Amino acid sequence: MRPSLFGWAAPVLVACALSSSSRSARAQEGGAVVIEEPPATTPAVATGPHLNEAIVGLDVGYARESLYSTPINALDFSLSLGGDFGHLSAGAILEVTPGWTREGLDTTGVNLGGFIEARLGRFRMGGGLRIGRFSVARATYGSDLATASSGMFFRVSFDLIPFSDHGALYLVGKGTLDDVGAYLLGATVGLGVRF
Amino acid sequence: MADLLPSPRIRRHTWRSGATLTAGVLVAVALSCAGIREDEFDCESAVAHLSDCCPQFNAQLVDCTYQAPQACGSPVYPDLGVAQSNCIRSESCETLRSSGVCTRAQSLPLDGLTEDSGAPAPVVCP
Repeated sequence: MRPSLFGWAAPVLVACALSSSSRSARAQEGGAVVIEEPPATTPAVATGPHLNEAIVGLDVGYARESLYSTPINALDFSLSLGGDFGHLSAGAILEVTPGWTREGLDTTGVNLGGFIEARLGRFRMGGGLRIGRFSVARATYGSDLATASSGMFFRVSFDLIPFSDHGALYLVGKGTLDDVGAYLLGATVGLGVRF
Repeated sequence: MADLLPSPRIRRHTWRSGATLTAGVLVAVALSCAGIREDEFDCESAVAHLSDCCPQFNAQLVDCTYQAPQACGSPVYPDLGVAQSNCIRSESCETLRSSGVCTRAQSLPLDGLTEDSGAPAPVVCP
């Protein structure tokens, strides 16, 4: 972890304060009037939040989707790469979502997008836009039903076990809306780890 | 407070990234206009259900593809329309077998249905 300037200045400030109070006490004991000189301190410069702090996140979750009112059960694998900029995080996210319908049709969603999140303590809330490909394996014959997709998502996460400034094991919830010729709605709950 | 804001360099980079992403989304929207059709999706779902329920059902004999009209031609629709597909999907396996849906579905036309074929859409369900 990169120590901040304030982190370096704090011990200096404490040492100077202790030295100053010690001199003052000695002066009072001797009965002499001593004009205390202001303590020579290194100005404490409070730095802003870290910029460009790289973060990597991996999520795995269960997703429930709906296409033409047909429910789709799916797994959601997400890889996010980005950075923390103060109280904001932004980056890119790659998602792969293999699924299956009640009748047994296999579906696959692959999406790449950008996200922006606000950090509120252990919560992160945000969303983004994404593009990708959605396909359904046919039960009959021929190539898959497949189309390019575009959409948006909303994401909330909570750091269950923080283990560094940015790293944590977190719980994540996500809502998605994609255009695949019709609206493909989705909701995901999962666990992730951020480094 | 100013420290909380990203630097101009980062803001420019973010703006460029946003513009690139927006352009990508617009391209994807244009490409996804065809999309996944409801009649194809429902037909495939119905055939998957029939395959589970009907002994020796050959799913490959059903055509669930939609073909857009070629020059001077007519579009070709899936063998099972949305209503028929949803009917099949809503029935239990026992009902599909006992009511003869399995047999009728297996004898669907192989070449799909065209708007001007003149033949009435086959009713296989119920």
